[in-house]
Amino acid sequence: MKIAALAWVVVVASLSVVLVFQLRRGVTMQTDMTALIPMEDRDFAISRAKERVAEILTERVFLLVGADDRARARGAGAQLAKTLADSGLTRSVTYRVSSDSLKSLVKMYFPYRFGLLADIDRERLQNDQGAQIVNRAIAIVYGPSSIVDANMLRHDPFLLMPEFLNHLPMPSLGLTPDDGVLSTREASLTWVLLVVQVRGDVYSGAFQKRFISALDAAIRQASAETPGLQVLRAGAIFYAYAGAESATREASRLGVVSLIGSIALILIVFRALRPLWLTLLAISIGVLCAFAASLTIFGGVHAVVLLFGIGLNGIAIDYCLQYIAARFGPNAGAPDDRLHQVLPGITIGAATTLIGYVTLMLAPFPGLLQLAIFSAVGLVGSFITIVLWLPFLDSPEPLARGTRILAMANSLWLFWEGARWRSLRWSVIVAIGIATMVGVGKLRIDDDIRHQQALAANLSAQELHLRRLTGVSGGTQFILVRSSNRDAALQTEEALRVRLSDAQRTGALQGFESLAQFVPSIARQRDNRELVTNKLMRPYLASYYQRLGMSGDVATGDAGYLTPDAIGNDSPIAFVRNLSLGSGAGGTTDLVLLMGVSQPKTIERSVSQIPGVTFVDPTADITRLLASYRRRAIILIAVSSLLMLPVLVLRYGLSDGIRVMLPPAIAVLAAPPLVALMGVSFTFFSAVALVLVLSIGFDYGVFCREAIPARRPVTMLGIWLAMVTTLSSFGLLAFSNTSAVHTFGSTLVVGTMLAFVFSPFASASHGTPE
Amino acid sequence: MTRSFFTVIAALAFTSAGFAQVAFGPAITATQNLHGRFRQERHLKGITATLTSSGTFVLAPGKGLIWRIEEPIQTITVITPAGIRQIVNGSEVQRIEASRAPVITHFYDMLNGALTGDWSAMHHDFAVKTTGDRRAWRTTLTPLRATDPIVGMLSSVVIVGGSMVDSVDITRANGDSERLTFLDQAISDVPLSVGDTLLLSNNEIIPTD
Repeated sequence: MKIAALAWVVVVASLSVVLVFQLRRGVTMQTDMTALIPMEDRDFAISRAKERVAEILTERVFLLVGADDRARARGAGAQLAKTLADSGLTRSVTYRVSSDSLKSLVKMYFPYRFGLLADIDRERLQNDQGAQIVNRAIAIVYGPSSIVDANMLRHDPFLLMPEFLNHLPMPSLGLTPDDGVLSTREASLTWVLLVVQVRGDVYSGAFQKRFISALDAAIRQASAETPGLQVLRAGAIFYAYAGAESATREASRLGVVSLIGSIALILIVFRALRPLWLTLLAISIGVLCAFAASLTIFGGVHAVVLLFGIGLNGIAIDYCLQYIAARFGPNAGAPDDRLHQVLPGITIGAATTLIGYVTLMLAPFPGLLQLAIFSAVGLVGSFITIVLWLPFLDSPEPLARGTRILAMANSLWLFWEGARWRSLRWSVIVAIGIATMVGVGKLRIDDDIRHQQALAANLSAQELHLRRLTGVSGGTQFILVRSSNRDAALQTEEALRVRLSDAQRTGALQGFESLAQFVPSIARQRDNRELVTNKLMRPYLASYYQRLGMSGDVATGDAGYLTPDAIGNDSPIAFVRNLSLGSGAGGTTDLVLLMGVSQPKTIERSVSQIPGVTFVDPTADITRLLASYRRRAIILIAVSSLLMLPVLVLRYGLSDGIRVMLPPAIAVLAAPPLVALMGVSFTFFSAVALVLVLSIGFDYGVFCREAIPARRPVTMLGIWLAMVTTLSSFGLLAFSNTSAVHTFGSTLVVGTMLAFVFSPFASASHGTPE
Repeated sequence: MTRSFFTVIAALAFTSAGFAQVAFGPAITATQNLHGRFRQERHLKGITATLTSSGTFVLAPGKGLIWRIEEPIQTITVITPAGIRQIVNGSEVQRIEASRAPVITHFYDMLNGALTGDWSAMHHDFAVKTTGDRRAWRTTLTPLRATDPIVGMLSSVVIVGGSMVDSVDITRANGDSERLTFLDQAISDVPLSVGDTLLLSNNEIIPTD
């Protein structure tokens, strides 16, 4: 025994060294949800595109600055823009688009003007309606608002270029450029828009904090100079920060309450702190082993796995407390004796739990595999620690003064046993039965990821206001275009554009952003030139020039074709460069961002007919992922119960083995409907809670079944303590504002309480309420 | 973008159409409108011919302007707070939403300002110098900032009038020039015709009058 304990010291020490070594090299905490998708379903180009889109969307911050007159709003906007640009935390701050920058755009396009046609002009030429273009040109030249001069008529006789520029997609519909600043008015307020691209790791909490503090300071400074200033903000970075903030605040608040609860419980029961740190030790060693194993096997730990893995690992408390409570027992004896008294129970309990966790591996889901290994290794680590170390670290003497506590602990057993509780027993069972039945009717499945995270209400309101004023519509959906080369990709986007414009007209979509809207493919440019030459210049130019009293030829020049490379970093349309994910020998990959998608299915159907095009809806994908994880988890719960049965049958025989399964079965089946009564939907997070509830139910059942009548009170005490600790550590999650955590917590609370209440059922002689 | 520059000239020309009422007489009320005939001669540097056009116009405060060219080609230009439309031979050849041509909004500020007696928008961009009296006056507008991308394209605007505006001479920085002459102007209390109301409502329907 001593040698084994020492050997375990060596193992734990070496694992610590491995862990420290790994941590020093830097641990990658995976947060990408796609890492949880089964391998065969994973498309790396799509994963990469999702990351890129998330980055583009997260980097972008919209600020709307409002004051009660134009000059003050613009003054504050300019000041804010300058402060942010000087902060070093931004890649770009777009506030006032200078006329120079607009001129640079015209300069970029001008040499290629005969290959650039507005869609409407292209259509006219294709339909032999060139005369309409000629009429328009004449109307403009003679019209009241003309600034056309001879130079322009020489270079672009039919004024095709201004029409092309006019039809370039606008960043927002609700705003109007006012002397270079996108502005709008609302009642007495003038609002001006700033678009900021942040520079830094948008996923890092430290960076988020730095940027938001800098922004808040800049706004305070601007408000000091412009009293009554209003600033609306929208951007993923604000939600991310607010989410992390509230999660941290919540976690620390719940954590403190839970810690105080556990300490108080142990102090009241044992009047000593030692049981507390023994418990913590067993669990920490488990987490340490789990962490080391995950890092070694997977090279990192996924955030979701860590979150739930530590939770699943927490079940070691059950075994720990069975051992610790044994000190109260009659004939408790020395630590080694006490261990031997509980060893069969905790071994079978741990074995069934292990089966439950390992079953998670059967699903071809990398997330569940990681979770299974993390929790299984953690459980084994904790279990070995309990068995090998706790007897050495524990106080040698039994606790004599526990009669009252033991009597209290035993009351549950008496409740199921005593003749005087008969009618109350039945009422409890009937009440739970009816509530469960009503709950089944209310049970709703909800996999939508958007319902799982709490968005800060204040931010949502600001964003809504901003969207209403600007007409900017959000969205995370996009289209991935994969082609053999740059021009083929642009041609695909041109084909897409036709379908997306149709979708826009029917209201399935509010807008889109693609490279080809700004730079037509060379094939298109060539075709446009031919149309201009054959359908416009040739039939109409001579008479048109004659009418205007001009002679000579059009100055065409030969500039070749415009390509996306021409868009410089300081171009007003530099943002479209983001839409190219890469172009080279391996082909070209582009993004088309979609805004305000209201009918994703329609769009998917319409665009997926074009070769090389994939419609991607990251939110829907995560929702689908959660749904399939939820389904798998439920199947695995059923499978693992079946796999646990042989262990029980082997020890207790068939009918008694099945009887031991009663408490976990009741808990797992009744918890979801009962929680549904509180309006909680069934999600993947409920399923994970049920995995834990199943194991807890088996533990309680096994402990009761193993207890000889004399040891029943002390066994019940261990179960009581385990139940209260579980409730105080996980049950508090039910108070979380984050829906996923709330669901997990409340399912666990109800499940654990059911498992506890019905645990005496597992014992053959006293289980059923006769 | 480029197109938006077009509109400023309209702004200048037609703010001056309402000049007389502002500088020397009562402004047009919201229920009234100003209508008349015009003749425009445009000289583009490098083109020997003079581009001459003539037709009628209707200006309704708060609603917009309809500029009907009859010669040399039938063209209707409608400028409203919602945007600008051009109609040739009964079919719309161009439509620019105000959101794409910000100067339209600016134009509206100036036009409505001029009609209602608020000159601040004009003074923001131009040095305004007026000589003469209410029967015969002459106002010269000079851009305050030659570097301004819009008003900087002008070198001067000279408006001559009496009870109404008689002529507007615009000289541009690039040497082009134009002269607008107004005839048969009248302020009318008669509501706009159905056709004109339709045009100003920015409707898709193009009246065939």
